[in-house]
Amino acid sequence: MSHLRLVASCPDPAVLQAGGDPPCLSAFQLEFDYLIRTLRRLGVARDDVEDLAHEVFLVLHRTWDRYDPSRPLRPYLFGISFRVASSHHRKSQRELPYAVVDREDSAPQPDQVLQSKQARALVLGALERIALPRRAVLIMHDIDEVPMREIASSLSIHLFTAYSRLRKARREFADAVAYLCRASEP
Amino acid sequence: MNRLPIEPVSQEIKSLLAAERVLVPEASEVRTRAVQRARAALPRRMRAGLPDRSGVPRPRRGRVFVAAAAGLMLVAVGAAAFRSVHQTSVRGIPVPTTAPTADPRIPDPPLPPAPMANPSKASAAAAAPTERPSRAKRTAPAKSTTDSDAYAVELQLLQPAHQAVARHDFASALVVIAEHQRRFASGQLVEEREALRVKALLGLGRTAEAQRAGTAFRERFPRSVLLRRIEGMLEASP
Repeated sequence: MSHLRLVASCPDPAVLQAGGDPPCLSAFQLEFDYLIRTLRRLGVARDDVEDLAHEVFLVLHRTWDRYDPSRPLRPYLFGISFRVASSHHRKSQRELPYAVVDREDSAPQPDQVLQSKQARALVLGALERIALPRRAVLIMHDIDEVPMREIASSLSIHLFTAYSRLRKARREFADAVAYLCRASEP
Repeated sequence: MNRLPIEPVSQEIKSLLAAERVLVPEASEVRTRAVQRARAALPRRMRAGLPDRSGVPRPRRGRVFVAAAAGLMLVAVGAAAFRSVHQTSVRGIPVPTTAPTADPRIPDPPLPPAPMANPSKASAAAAAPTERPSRAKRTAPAKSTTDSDAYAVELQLLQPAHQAVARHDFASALVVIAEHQRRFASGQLVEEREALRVKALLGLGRTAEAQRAGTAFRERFPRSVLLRRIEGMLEASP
């Protein structure tokens, strides 16, 4: 299933050239929803997400000649987003292991967990509790369904490091979900 | 290589992650604003619908050196050929004393101070077809590369201002903005810079200055895609 998703995320050169926009701008438009969600998953506050998306676009434009169009766009975009978000967190020193999640992402009631919106809020809240390098691997593998080799390549890390981070991130994610569900109990 | 074993996740976690996998479309105004902003940040020639050269691989430094070396070799070979032809053609003919001083290896020999004052048609005819086109060939690509290089420098210079504004470090942003203004008073990213200035001034509570910067922006870029956002920010300020 994952390979189907990856193929689907490969940008079609004809689509990218359509409309007269530069290909990097077409790619930005094509994956805008994915980009915004990825930045949110990487812990960027909603107030900052538009500015950070613009920064991602600037990097995408500058490095577009390095992108191989035969490969899926999303992992490449994720790599840029990860670096931009990391830099943003580092500079603003807002990345805390137990950072306060946005009010709209407050922990849900247990009986509402199955509802999609609340489930998404719970996922964001739990992701927020995982250190960014491990969180990136978890998002790419378990949400974006990117193969581990591609993850290692996009994040410029060793394959074994990627596996190690995934293993630990999964444990942390499960613990965080359990904690948030317990914390929201009356 | 086989996949390394990873312990499976529970069914609850799987369902949570599956729900997160579905992308919810962003509001159309957010999308429009972001795309307009991205388009405004592109170099002017790309905005004008000229061919996108961002997808063309830039020559690497190594390739530039190789090209430069090849160019030098060509010049040297040309010089040798010119010298040998010149020497054979003047053999047996009295050579003017000034002729040997004309070194063909010098790419741009200084023109006579008053070309019109020199009525020597022979020398003019010999010099004009060889020098003028070569100079034109050299200057035309140099201008286009200068434009793209300047854009890259501008972008690199202004990006810290973006980041500073994003992390609400407005004072640092203004320092970067001033530096950009000093180096690129009318560069390709002036709209972006001025928009950042308004935002930074508002962030610092310098509302009057922000209003002035906003007014100047409106007068200078009345059709900018950023104008609406700037006006929105100014209206929202106390």
